[in-house]
Amino acid sequence: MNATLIFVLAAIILGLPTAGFLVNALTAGRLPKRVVAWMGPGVVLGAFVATLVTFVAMLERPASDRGITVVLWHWLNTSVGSAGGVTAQSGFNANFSVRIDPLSVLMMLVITGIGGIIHVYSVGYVADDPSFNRFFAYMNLFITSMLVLVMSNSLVFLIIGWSMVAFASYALIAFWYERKSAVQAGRKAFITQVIGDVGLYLGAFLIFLNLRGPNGQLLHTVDLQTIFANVGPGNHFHGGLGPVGGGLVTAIGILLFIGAAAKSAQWPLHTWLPDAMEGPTPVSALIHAATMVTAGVYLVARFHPIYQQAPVAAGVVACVGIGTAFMAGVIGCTQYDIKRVIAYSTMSQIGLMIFAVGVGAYSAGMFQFFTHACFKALLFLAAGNVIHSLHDDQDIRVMGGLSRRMKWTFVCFTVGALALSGIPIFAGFFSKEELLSNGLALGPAVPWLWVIGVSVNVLTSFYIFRVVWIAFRGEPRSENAQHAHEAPPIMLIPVAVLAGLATVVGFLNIDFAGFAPITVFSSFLQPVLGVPRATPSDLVGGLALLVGVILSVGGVGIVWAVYGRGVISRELIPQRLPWLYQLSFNKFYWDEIYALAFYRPVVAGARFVRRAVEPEVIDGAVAGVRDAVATLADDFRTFQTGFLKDYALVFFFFALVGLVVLGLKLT
Amino acid sequence: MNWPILAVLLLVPLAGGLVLVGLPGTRPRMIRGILIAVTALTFGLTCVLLVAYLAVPPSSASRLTGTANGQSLSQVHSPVTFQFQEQVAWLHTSSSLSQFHPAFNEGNNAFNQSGPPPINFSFHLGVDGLSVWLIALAGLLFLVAAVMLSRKEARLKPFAVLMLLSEVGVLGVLTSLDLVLFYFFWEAALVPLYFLMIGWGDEQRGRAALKFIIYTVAGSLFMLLAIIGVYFVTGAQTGVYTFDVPTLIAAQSFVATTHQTTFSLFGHSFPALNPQDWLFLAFALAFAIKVPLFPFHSWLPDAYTSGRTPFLVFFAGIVSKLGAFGFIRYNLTLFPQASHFFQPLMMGLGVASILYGALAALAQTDVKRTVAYASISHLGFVVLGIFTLNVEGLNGSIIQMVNHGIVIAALFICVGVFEARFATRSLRELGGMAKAMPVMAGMFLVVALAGLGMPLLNSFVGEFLILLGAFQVSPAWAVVAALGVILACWYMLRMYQGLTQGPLLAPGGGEPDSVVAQAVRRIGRIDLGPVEIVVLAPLVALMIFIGVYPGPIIHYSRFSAAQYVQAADRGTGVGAAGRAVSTVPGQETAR
Repeated sequence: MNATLIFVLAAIILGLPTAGFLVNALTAGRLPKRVVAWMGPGVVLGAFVATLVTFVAMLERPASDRGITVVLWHWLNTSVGSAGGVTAQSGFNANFSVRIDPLSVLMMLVITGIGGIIHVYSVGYVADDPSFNRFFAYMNLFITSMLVLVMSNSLVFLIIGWSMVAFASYALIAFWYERKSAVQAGRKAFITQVIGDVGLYLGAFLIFLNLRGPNGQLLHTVDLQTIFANVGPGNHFHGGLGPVGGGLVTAIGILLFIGAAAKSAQWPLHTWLPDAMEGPTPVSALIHAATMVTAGVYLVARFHPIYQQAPVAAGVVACVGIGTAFMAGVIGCTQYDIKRVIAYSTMSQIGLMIFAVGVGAYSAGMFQFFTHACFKALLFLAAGNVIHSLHDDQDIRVMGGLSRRMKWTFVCFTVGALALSGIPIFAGFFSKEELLSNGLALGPAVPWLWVIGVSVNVLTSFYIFRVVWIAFRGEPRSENAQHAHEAPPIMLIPVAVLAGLATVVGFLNIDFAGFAPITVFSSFLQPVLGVPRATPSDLVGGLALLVGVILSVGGVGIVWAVYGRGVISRELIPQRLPWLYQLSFNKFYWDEIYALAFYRPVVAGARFVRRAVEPEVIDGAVAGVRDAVATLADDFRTFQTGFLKDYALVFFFFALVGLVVLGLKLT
Repeated sequence: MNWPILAVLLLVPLAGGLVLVGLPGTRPRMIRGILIAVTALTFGLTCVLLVAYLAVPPSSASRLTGTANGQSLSQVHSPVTFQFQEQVAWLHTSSSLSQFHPAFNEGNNAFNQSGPPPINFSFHLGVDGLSVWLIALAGLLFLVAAVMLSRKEARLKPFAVLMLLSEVGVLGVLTSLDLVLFYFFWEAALVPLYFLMIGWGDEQRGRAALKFIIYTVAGSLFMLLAIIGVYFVTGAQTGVYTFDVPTLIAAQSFVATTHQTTFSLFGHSFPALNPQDWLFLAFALAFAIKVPLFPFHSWLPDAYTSGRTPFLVFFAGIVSKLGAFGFIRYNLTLFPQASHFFQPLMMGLGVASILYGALAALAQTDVKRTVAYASISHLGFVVLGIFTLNVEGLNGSIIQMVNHGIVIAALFICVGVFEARFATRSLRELGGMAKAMPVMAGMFLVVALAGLGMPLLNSFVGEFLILLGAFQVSPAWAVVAALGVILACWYMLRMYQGLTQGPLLAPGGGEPDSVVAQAVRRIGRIDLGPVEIVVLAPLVALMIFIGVYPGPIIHYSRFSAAQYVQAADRGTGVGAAGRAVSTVPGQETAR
């Protein structure tokens, strides 16, 4: 694994999807569909192959030497040397440098691998859409953006990738732009992302301006490896970002998390994600399950040297994560739109990941990201099969009885549901239990956060099996549901592949020699993320695991009791606790609160500027000056006799005065 | 460069304008051809100038002695250095100087003279890393405007002549290195612009033009007084009586640190303004009106709304940059202490422009007015960057001036397309046009994204550097300015989505398809025509190129930016020392 090879591989990985985007964009829809159907998924799968090559090349190296940085191009540099009377100054110097290490390769594998599967699926899903080419242009652009985000070794290009992802997601959410709701959802997502971007900008500024080297000199760097090398422990007397837990490093941690929260749909920047379900379903699978929304998890894990120095910021991250996980879980229990249930489920699961990286269980968080990418993409794509076959109807109340008509989709969706719920042997079980038991050992305010986290288990299995029961079991409740048919192979095979992955990937983190804390997956990431500061003892860990599994199975049991057997009334909660039901059904009223607190005041302010300030104050002041001048002009009108000699006389008089004054002043 | 390229640059459009005057107005095809040829030649010359400038390594010492005059006072002491200087004596009152001697303009002879000071001014031209980019931008935008100009335009000949004359004025402002000459070009650009504004456009144009001319003339008057004031104040303090800009800049190094005096009122003491503060304010007023900065912007929305698209391309694209250029070239270098004294005021006005323009843009239903207010908001960033008085901010401002010129010109072209097709600019009446005009929608998308500061497009580079610069001075201002980025996303999406997305709407509430059909019947097409693609494509390509690879522009402007920062730091006790490459911990704590 030498630098040249990595340079070439990185260029291929980034270049292929970019080329796919450019070809589609520049031909403006004139390329035949057949070509695009091969090219769109082809470039992503090509990038996947190149990533695999990178991965293998990396595995050949010793574990301690798996990080490499290559510069793709020099972006800009404001430093000047000392010449021409100018003092040499170090300025802002940003390159597009790429970091290949276990963490970025893991992300790249998921982005191009799961992304490639979703691209193949999309060929079937949007086959009849007139904007076929535009769809693949944006999908490829999204892959490029996401790769820039995770591969960048420069704070600036991290931000660039961060914003490009926001744009690509906007373009895909608003893909069906003739629908007003899609346009609004796209705008909401984009603006929320820009709020996060600004947080990231400010965090980056603080790092750039304040990071000091070991001798206390200001480094003025945006190079991530340099930053991490200098933030670490032992360097914070003279250097780094000040003392552990200091105001500076805490501020940086929180500002970066604003960006992470916007991208990962965490409270308080979470409201865009459910609306984003306006986009085509493969988009939801790619963006709102597998990749984009996990960028926040990646960011915190990547910046863990900073969060380790900022316990307060990390605590905020953990609390926001667990809070969002619980809130989204509660909301998911009462929604009727199949995609929105999965969206809230995503929000909830990502909340758990954010909790994990907040408490310091970085590799547990990344493992949950990895398994979640498989089973959540599976759930979305299987839901996509249902929606496609029901002619874009997403309400589970009009479904029913689909298990007979769409047998394979039903099986795959159920596998996804089992994996999501954390039922043993499926992927989610391994990742979620590791995450929660780590949280038990590491979390602030132990064990309260763990209690909340483990109670999310029961919510999770309840809301997802509620969908399974209502949508797939029983009798068809609509014309469309009666005529539902199984999806074509191009949409079924990717779903089946994901179902296989969702079943087996969990075993990656098992050390078959016993329950050792370091396992295959964690040891792969260990050079970047380190080992957790603490792990629970075998007894505590085993008990926690048992409680978790019991709660997960309990959730399924409740669904069975409510929807299967009918021993518990469906109206129990709505009747006994109507406030809780309303709170959940209305998504805790966050949309309404934000409309009242931000949207309406800004719009009112803007209207006020247009209607009152501009015509009255600004133009009014101008008019006042104009009137004053006009009055003066009237007074002076008598001087304007119209005779040239009068003017000449006045001119000479004042010229004389001017000259005299000039002469007096100078002598 | 062995030939006077800057003088030729000014002469070409002037000569082109004179040739056009002699042509009969009944030959529109020929007039348009000559106009395009002349602007293309001018653009070619600006490119030659740019390449010649880039050929000189930015930090090489030859920049200091590269002029024919060799060592001179201005070049020894001026912290800002100029390339390709050309100088011809114009008017002088001192008989002790041998007429037309090359050394005449050096300023040396103005030293130690008793008696009344000589009134010298000369035809002195030169460029630096700031102006060379703006000159290239001006060349490009005038060419774009010339190509845009339809030969069916009413009264084509006067339009073409006035356009070339305003190009002379603009290029003159950017190249002149003598205050009197600068003022001459400043006013000379104004006159044809006024006639262009009053002669072409919608029915509101008369009012708009009047507002514009009153505003700018008022600003110019103060500037004229201040130019005379600079002459005497600098002369009184240093003995150098001259209008020569490099000499004046150099002379400021000899101005002793003026301690801020105070006066007391009602028992409180307030800082009193010294003469340089007043001169700073007079210059700043003229430039603030030209930019325009809030609250001096009232002429802009009217002027931008009523103008014709080709006019707006160069008017919005380059003329507004002259104000920002003036801030850097004159306010920072001639009044360094005042620049620091007024830094909070100017940064505050910049931030106010950002937010006010963004809020106003958010509420408009007329898309041209949206673009106009967006322009105010974007230029607020430029002024904010200038008065950070540090390298990041100033570099950001320089590149942002170029970016803004490209983006605003493209925005007006896009909006103009809708106006030409549907005879309306109302967001209420238009919508869903992406379906009818996909190429237009694609180009417009890139332009709108550039306008909202999307990374890998040009504006991001400038805004990021400006915010970084502002953050160093005052994190609070940077945070408030960053709100402008969020609002920019909002109003740009509101405009872009309003025009192109949603269900297809038709002006006048008719059947959408029939309105599209009508537009096709009227102008033969609905999507972009060849001319529109030819003018938009290079602008879009530039947005992407600068966004992906801004290195070259920064590389060839950073040296001048550092010089301007150092020029502004003179006599203020602050300096680049905190940022110097080799530093020890003790020095760093000063920052």
